[in-house]
Amino acid sequence: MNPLEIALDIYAQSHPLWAALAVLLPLLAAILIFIFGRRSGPLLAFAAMVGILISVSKLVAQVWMKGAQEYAVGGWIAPLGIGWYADGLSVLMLSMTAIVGSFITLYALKSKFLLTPLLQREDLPPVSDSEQEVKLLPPPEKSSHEASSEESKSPPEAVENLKYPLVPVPDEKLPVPVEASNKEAETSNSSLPFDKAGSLFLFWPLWLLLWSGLNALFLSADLFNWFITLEIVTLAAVPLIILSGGANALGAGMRYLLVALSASLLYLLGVVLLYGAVGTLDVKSLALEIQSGPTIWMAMFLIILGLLTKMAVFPLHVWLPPTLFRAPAVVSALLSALVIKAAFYLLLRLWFEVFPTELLPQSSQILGVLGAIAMILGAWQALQQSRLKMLVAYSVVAQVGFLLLLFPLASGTNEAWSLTAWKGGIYFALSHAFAIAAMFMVVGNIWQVLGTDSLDSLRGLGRHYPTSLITFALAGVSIVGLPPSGGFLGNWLLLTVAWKSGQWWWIGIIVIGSLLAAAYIIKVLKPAFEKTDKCVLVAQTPLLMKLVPLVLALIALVSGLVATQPLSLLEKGSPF
Amino acid sequence: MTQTIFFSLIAMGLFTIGLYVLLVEAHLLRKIMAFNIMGSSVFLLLIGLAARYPLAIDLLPYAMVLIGMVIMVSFTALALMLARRIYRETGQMCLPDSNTETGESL
Repeated sequence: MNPLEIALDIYAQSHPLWAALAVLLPLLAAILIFIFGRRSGPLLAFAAMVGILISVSKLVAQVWMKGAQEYAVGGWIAPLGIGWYADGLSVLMLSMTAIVGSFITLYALKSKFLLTPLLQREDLPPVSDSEQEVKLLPPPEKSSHEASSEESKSPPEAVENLKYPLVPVPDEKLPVPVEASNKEAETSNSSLPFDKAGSLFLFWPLWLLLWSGLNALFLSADLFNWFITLEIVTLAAVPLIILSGGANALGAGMRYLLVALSASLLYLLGVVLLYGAVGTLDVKSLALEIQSGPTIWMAMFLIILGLLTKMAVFPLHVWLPPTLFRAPAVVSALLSALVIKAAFYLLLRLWFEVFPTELLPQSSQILGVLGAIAMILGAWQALQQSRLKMLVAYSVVAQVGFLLLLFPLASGTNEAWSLTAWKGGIYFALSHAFAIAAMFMVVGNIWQVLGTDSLDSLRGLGRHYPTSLITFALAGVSIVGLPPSGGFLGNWLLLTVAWKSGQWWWIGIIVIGSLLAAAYIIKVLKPAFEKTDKCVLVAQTPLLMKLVPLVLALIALVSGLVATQPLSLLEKGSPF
Repeated sequence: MTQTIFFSLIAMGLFTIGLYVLLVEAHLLRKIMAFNIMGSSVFLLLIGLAARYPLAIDLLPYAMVLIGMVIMVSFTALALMLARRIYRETGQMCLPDSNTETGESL
């Protein structure tokens, strides 16, 4: 043994404490923020972040050195107590959360990110004689954009219009703000209602609670515990979405609450049926004792339906883009990068480790078809958007569809190919988390410096604000799946399996999805790097806010080059 | 066993009604009541399951119902607060962006 291995071995001393700390530290910090007051928020969050990074690295070392780990929390063993379990997949998800979470924390330390939706709502004069006729495919967005641009007119008129938001106006030209004027955006901060600005510190405890819930979710190995942790995540996510205040944000939060809660209840109903049929909720004993039958199929259907809703898979994706659009940029980043991945993780676990295998090959093809439709439809709708944030939000829909291709490709008969597809899909999810978080942060930056996020106003921004646009391009490389990004590696592994296992039809889907992704990334970048002096910056962003997404995008980019260790980590305790 | 089946059927019916109302009704209070009915129906199913063995009572469902009730209460409180603020901002008790005509009220 060389000294490095000995050191790693000592570092990997197994103790349940480290698993518990990953959950307890953010919880504790969140409560302490309420005791010590709002000014302690950033400091305590930073301390919790450091603690989580240490404990998660401990967990990674344990799984790396000793294989899958079980932790008897409180000394109670599985049938009586609720054991925690960590294998390659869960520690990889934990580290993804820790890395993205740390960057989100750092970004939030400096930013006035929460103000950005307010800037747009209150301060942009509508330009009535805009030449472009903006066509938006989904009706809810149309009405929401209308409402938002109406709001910036005189208040009584806005209220008048809000009372009838249900009437669709088919061919109306939407006013698109072309240029933000300097003066008005500056007055915006002072015109904020004070209680909204004052409640922004709540970001810290809520974000820590969400982080704690996510860590607990990735460590649990019990179907009911997963329900509880999902609910903790949702309960923390809803107030985060509405932090910026305003009717539209409130509506988005309420819609998210209703969708997420009904999805959770569908999941819970399925879990209860499973419990009724099998008599246990522990993942391992459930996997041993489950036998297929009508009750189990019904339970599987309900659980899958609930989780697909949480993942925002076509045709249950309608709630996602408006929610991501209305939430503050940093919250959109953590919703799309982490919260959606939590549902994906549960689906992976249940699909490959719990559910009886008889129906899976056929039903996985259905999941794949849903994923394929989501990829193409999401990318197509992203191309139709006139707002940068909506475009990125629809790209999330498309990429979630991509994640689903893992299921048909990994449910084949050959175990080696299944393992490859499994690794590829999870690696894609991982690098997508880094890339999309970076992308939403950049959107937040752009919104802040321009006072708007309409694609027209991006014209010529590359000259004044190069760092963030380069970050956007780098993250785009990973989203599209070009080498050497982690997205490319995931794509490549899936393509290989599709070719070798004879499911060639997925190859075409993957290629079309990537091409469409390239199209919408270029749609953003092309006007941004145009030579024009029309572009006016209305605000500055601190250096940290530009650096954090840049580093995150670089991580997504180089994750294709340093993939050996994470991929072999995935083999520890894998179902194949 | 017949008892369990009876309660399961009622629970399934209630869950369906709750889901239907949640999807169809625009009024926020009705939506909030609807998801409460959905939650209660799941709890009813659990309680029915607890009595599925003739001689012994399964106690685990009771614990699950208690935890589930805590979660439902917190969600109801949050949703009521949100509904109140939406009412204050827009003067109406439905989702601001909702488009019921295309069935996308969620």
